[in-house]
Amino acid sequence: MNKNSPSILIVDDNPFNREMLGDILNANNCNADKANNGKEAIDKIAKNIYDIIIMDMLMPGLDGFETTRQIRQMGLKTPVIAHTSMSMKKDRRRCMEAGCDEFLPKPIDTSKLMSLIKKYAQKNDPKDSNSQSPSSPTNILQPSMSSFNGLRLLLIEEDHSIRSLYIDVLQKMGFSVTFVSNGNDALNFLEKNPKKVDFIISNMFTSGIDGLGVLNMTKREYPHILVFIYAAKFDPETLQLMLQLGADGIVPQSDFENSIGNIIHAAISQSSHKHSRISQARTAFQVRKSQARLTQFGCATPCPFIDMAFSTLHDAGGDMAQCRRFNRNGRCGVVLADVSGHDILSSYISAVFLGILSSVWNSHQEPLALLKVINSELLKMEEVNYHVCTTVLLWDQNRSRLEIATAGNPGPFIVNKNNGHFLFEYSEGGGICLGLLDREDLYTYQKITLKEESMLFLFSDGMSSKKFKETINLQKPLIMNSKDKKICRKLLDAYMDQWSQNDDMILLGLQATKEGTDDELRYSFNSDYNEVDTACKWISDQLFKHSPEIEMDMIMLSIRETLLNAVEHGNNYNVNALVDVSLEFKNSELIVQISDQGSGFNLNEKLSESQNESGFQIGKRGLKIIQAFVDKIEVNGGTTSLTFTL
Amino acid sequence: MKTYKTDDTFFLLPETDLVASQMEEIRDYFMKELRENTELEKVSLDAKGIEIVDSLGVNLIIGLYRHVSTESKKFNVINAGEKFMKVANFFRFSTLFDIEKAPSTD
Repeated sequence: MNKNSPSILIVDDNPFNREMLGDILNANNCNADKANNGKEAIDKIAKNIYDIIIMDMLMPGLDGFETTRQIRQMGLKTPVIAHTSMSMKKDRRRCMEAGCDEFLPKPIDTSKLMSLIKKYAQKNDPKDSNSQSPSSPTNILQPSMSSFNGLRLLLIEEDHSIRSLYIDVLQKMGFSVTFVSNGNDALNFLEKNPKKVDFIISNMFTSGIDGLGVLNMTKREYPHILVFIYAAKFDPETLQLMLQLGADGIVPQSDFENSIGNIIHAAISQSSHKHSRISQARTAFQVRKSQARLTQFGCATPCPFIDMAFSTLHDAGGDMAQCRRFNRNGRCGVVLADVSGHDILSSYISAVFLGILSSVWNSHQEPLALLKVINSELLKMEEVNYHVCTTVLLWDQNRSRLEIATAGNPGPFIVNKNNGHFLFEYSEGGGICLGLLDREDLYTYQKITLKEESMLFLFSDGMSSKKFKETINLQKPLIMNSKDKKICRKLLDAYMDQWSQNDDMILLGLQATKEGTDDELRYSFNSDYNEVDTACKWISDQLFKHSPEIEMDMIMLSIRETLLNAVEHGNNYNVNALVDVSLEFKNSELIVQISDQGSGFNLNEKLSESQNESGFQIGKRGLKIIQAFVDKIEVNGGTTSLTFTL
Repeated sequence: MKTYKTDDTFFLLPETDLVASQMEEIRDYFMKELRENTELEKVSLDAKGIEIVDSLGVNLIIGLYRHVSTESKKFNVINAGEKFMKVANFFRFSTLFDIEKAPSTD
């Protein structure tokens, strides 16, 4: 064997196969090296240069598919021959999709193997101007000087002389280079100039936030930016972690000047034939911005009892979380949804979902009713095979009562604090995702009363209850101080630090509200005429207690008519739908707020119409009564507010 | 609720508030009674015991008046209490039929 013999790495967990292949290759004038598994292979590939890799695809732990993907993510084009007992056409396709160049079924066909070795060894011959290997310094074909013209690069390096050298190299390639000394400065720069950076190249080891931290934060907050990390040496665990976090390239510092151009070039052209990675990343950035809009509080000033946080993958996603306050009595709705897939169409379906939600939510506040109506609307979209895992929650803040229905999402996760300890309650949730089946009986439903000092979390299926429980146990102080306003962000960050992320995630937390201190002035009832009588009795008792001297007959009649309006029109006689009543005595005024669960009709408009009509017209008499004896009427969604001067 | 008769008048006595929760039962009962007792010239709603009349109660009273009128009979209200009168005045019942107040209890 001589130094021009092809260098081949055999990756196989089976020692017999490994040795046999090694013997065949050595006997045919090749330099064979061996790795027992994917992890060891990655480690060897990071340190050595190979002309060809022969990869067993089925291995425990990091299998051949994932190992090949990671090799490609490292920016290496070294030919990979998939060597596997899987022989179906679809297996071959799967190997190619993972980044393999050839498919060699087991048992080994020696002549076929050697013809492949010859083919790729010749291709990698340094004399061949079409050389494919960027790994070998002798084979380096840097992209032309102007390849990267106009692209903006942020370099993170503390050492002045290394920095100057690298800036020189990068500027010669056409990059517009900005530099900072460490990760902290880099993140500050990105926060102020998120659109002014296309690439980051960072030393793995910098003071403060290191290269890994920069990579993690960048991929989370600015997924359009490609990140490359360099170091003199990488240990296998760090290498693994960098790939998991989505590093676009890993650069050996010893060969920085020769390899950086090709590694960046490979990263740009790697993932798509139609569009460049940059174009995709920029699209993803736009999607990421849209994603922020998909996760929104319904109130301009969010109440202190709800918090949300989300984390996306690099690609488009369809996670949504929305809340809406239906009335001033604290009846709120919360929806958390996760569209299948991670592409632009997922984001489109999210927008459609939100459109449907927006138009039907007021009139379908009850969780199961909302799931049913959205499912029915989604099913009307033909030829769109996307589904939406959804959780719907109707939240009576005044009593910390919740109704929850799930369609494919995990159930609620409740943390009860008990003398410095946590007691967990969680349900699996489940049900069938929306948009799949024209069935209305496949959702889960439960009622919960949240105890004081308890917290309820909802999350999409990117997270697991078991792992979340472990994260919470490690974040005890955070939960104990549940007044922390960014509790979900911190918990999600802790979750991501602890567990690898393989899906976009969304976390929503609700705090128990204090038992209403003014409970005696709040009343709720089901939409039934007999309940209206009982509610009127309760209201007149409160009125009499507060102001026994007032003439309340016509006030009560006015209130009664508003209650009837809520039952008949707001809730459309749906006995399960609640009507909320609150009384407030303010100076010499009584303010009565009556809320239903539906949009009903535009009461203001009807009141205006009724002014011009005879009181003998059936259907408008109730409105005339309301209007005649009240000093002020305000209608806000499903809530009618009546003000009487006492 | 009940009905009773004198020589020329058929009396409808709800003995309860004319509110939404009672309406279906009262309406069905009174309409059935009116269909079965067509011989008398006059129909009176005896408002004794009626404290609250909501919009559905108003609809019932107007409905009874219209039904009786279409048969060319007279309709009136008797024993109207103070609270009943407030609603009656608001809807100007007196422009349609006579209303006789309940004797004062003072």
